[in-house]
Amino acid sequence: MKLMDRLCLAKNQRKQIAAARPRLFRVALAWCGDAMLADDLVQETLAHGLQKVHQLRDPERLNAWLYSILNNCWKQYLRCNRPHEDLDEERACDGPIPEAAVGQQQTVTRVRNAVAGLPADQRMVLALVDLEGLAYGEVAVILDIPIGTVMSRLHRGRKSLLARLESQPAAATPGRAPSLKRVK
Amino acid sequence: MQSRKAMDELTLNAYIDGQLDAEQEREVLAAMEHDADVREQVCRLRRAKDWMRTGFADAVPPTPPAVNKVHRPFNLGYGVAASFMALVLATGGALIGYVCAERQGPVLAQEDTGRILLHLDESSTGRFAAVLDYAEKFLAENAARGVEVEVVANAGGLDLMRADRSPFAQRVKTLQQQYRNLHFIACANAIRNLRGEGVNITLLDGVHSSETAVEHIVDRLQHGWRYVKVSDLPGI
Repeated sequence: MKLMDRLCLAKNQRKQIAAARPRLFRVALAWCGDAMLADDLVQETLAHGLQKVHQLRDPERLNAWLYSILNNCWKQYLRCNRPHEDLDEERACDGPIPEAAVGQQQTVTRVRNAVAGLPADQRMVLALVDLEGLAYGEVAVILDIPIGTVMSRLHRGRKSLLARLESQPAAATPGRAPSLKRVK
Repeated sequence: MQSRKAMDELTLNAYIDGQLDAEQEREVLAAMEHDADVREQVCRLRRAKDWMRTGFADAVPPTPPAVNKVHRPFNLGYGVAASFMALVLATGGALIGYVCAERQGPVLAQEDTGRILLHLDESSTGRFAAVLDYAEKFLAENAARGVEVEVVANAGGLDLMRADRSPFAQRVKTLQQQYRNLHFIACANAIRNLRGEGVNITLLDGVHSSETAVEHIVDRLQHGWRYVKVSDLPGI
């Protein structure tokens, strides 16, 4: 590759890395259940990505590469801070997230609480598939697990999520029926 | 056709995730047409997927509190002047030198605005020296061009800017006095974490720390600054 092409590529990749922050944060939040910790994990991921982008041979894999770094940061955190817990057993929290529980926010809180109660391995797969829309094969590479494991974790995760959310139906908001504001 | 019994939940999950090939999709669709249970199952799985999206769609990174923000007089004026100079340079780009690799030293690249970001994330006397050497050389060689240099530190790199640990405190001070277009930025997150561990952090005079290193880097990249890996600097 010519020098100019190489420089432009690295510059573009760094811009893409910078732009990935909101997506990485969303996934990190789903994994760990704590906004400040998620932000720390993402910052570590971005710093690592910015420093090591020259090692990325296939630019098409940038996103998957960033999620792999995030995965490593998360595992490292668990090893350092919760060394006695397995990833399979680790749960972010079972208590409620202190957020205003009204309207849309109520649904958000319910979902985040339910997700936080799932085992970490299931949360990780759910976040990558449902939030980021990644293919099973990509998730398998990022998390370094077989595709069959991705599928079974996803299946168990969704099943548990449904059980948790359906057992706690949303409280009705008085006087506010759902309204259809706009249809494309 | 796959029997209903064989239409297991793994397949239905793969269906709602768009992971099946055309033939498998047709089988699921046919099963849904004839079997209310399969329809119900697909509906519930889609609901779970929608719940996940709803729960995290609006998640945005928190804004960290400002830490020891240092205001330096004339910074704004200088920044405007520097930006103006950068603009003049950009429009008169023919005056600027040839394109070079980051490894080749502090010469302005053709598309470069002369704004360089040096990122430090390791505590290493050698790296600290290399960063300061690079910044000084770049600023000296491009003094007439309105360039700007920022040294951004997080993790171990913070040591360069800590009053109690910096091996180059005096040199940082001298450079700051010599070059108004040289700035040192310490990561607010790293400071917060260290303080959380009970470490008393005092930064060198003139070091900014109003945002996290990554936020700062992201912002600078979006504004066309050149990011330079410290590991690529001469002498590393």
